[in-house]
Amino acid sequence: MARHTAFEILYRDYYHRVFGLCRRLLGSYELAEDATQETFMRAYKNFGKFDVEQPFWQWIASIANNYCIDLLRKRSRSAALFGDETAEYDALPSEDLPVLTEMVVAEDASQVHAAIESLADKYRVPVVLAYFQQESYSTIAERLDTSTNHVGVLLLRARQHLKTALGRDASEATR
Amino acid sequence: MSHPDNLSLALYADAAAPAEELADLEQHIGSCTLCSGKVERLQTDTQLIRSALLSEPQTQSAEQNTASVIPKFKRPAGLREFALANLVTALIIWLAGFLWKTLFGELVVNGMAWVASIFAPDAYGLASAAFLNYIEQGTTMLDAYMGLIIVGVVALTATALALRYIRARDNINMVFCALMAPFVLMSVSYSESAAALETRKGTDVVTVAEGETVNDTLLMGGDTILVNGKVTGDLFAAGQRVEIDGVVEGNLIAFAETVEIRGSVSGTVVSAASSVDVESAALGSDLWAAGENLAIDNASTVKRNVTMAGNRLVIAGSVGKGLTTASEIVEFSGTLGEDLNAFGAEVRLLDGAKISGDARLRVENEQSLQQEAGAVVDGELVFLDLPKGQEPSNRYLSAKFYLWQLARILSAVLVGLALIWLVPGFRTLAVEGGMEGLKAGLVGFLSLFAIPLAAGLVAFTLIGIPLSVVAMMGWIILMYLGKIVVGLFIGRSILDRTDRETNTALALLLGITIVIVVVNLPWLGGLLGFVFTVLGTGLIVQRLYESYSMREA
Repeated sequence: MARHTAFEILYRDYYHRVFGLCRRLLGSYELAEDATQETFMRAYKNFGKFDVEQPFWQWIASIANNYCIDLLRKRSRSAALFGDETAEYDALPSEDLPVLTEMVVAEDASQVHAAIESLADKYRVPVVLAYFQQESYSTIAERLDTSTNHVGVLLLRARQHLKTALGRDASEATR
Repeated sequence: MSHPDNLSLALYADAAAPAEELADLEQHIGSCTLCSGKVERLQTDTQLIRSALLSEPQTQSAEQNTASVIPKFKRPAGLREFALANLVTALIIWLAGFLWKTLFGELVVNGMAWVASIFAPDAYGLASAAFLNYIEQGTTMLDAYMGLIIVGVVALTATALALRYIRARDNINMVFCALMAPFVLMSVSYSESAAALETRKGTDVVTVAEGETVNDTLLMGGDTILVNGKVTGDLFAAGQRVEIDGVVEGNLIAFAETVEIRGSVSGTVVSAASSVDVESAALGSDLWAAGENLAIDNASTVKRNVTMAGNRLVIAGSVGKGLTTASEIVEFSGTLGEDLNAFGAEVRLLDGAKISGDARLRVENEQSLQQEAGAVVDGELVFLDLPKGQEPSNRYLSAKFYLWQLARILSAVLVGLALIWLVPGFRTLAVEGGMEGLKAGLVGFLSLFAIPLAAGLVAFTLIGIPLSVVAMMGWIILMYLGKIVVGLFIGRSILDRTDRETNTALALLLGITIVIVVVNLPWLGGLLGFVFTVLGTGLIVQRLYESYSMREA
């Protein structure tokens, strides 16, 4: 009973953070609701294995990350959700680096956020893990079952797509 | 060193460059304004992305909603909690039936009878009987219908896909034509018969007047239907009272509170009514009748067979061939060309009765027959045991039963997968122990009765009829999905005990198979099926309500 009570307190404290993470990873409000419930379900089942010396957030975020990535893999019906390493590398710009700051009106984070939401799963997930969760490339590579180099390629490709999306917005705004 | 590529710079900017390259990169970037500029821009962009992800201004309101409404945490329940919830729900169902029957039923029925309204107790009695039957029989009938529809839809889809596949591979349009032919023929024949059809309807008296001839098949609907003229085709009549004094050259099909036939009908007569009276009538073919009281007077003749089922049958007329009856009391004083087959509690062969064939009586014992001295049976008088067909056959011994159950399982799995694909949240629905399990049972029980009740009330208004139809369809679908949700829960609960990741399709297959086996258990199957439906419905309704509340908040 004490275990259940303790978990319920943690549930209330961390619900929004987990929901926010799932929301960003999945890009869908409805899916995030279910993913959050499933994350806490899994956490509850394995609560006995939780090391109290570790931060709870780190542990539950890891469960949420893995569940969301699995879910995206299942929905895409492909284990290689995060693309072919060589093809993605070949598609990188050889000269110019994508620069977002030039495309964005100062302080308009919503514009960037909308562009991030519009990214394909294979680009959005590493972006969220790297820049929202601040996970290292090696941790992301492990989660996505790929190499650190490929994570770098996906993040660069994500910037490239963001630049395109923001450029489109900017041209529509000036029209 | 030449300039590093963009990937190396990006890895460096995010502090992810490989250790073996780090020194060279640092040295180059420190001395190259072009590359250090690129790294700086990459880091600025990273900050921009990070702050965008952290702030998320556009969806802030949605997240604030979840801040104010955190759904209650549902701890994963085991099969023990599920069994407990089943037990509690079964008790609720039993208690509801008991209270209705003993306290409320008695009080209200007697009270209403005392107030001396004639129709209200009947209406209440009917509703009460339906309610109790629903509790006692559960959803077996609806479940069977729903199963039939789902299996049919799945079979049709499979046929369509197979045909598409065949056609794509080899041009055999003839297969398609052959399959469509019956439907085309059906539609052609239907339109032809529809062309030779006349309808007459009204709220009061609808008639075929004396001397009038209707040269079509005639459909009549009204409070009172009077046929004094002639109908050359078939006659379909439905109303409070149907009186046939004229001539029907085709078949007569009549549904009413009272049916009186005094004229002549050349074809077969099929009638269901509280009271069917055949008086001085000439029926040229068979008579099939079902009702409370059925009578053929001594001036009437039926050329062929008579088959009747009711509470009290009085036959004094002449029947050309055989007479088959199923009723509490049969009184026969007419003439019969062939055998009498009577199934019931009491058979009275009165003076003047003449049976040319045998009299086969399926009654409890020989005392159930009263034969007066003037009653004659030319053939044998035989007392039979219950006919074989009346004994409940063992459905578990037929292959058809197992094939049907297999089809139900596969259909339910397919529907379940589609449901989870549409609403992923249903995958995690779980029956909890304690008050939560009780709540799910109560919500399910109330939903199962409240929806048809509300639909019935709404249907009284003209505008509410389509709404009522939609509500009833939704209700039936809800009940069907209820068992699927319970099946998924059972499957997940079992598979979760293993260390491997639970496969949803496998969990569905396992759980639904268990549900189908359980609901087919003798004695307990019906009640358990109803309990599963109640619990599953409760879970679905609760889930839908939670989602709605979160969006409304």
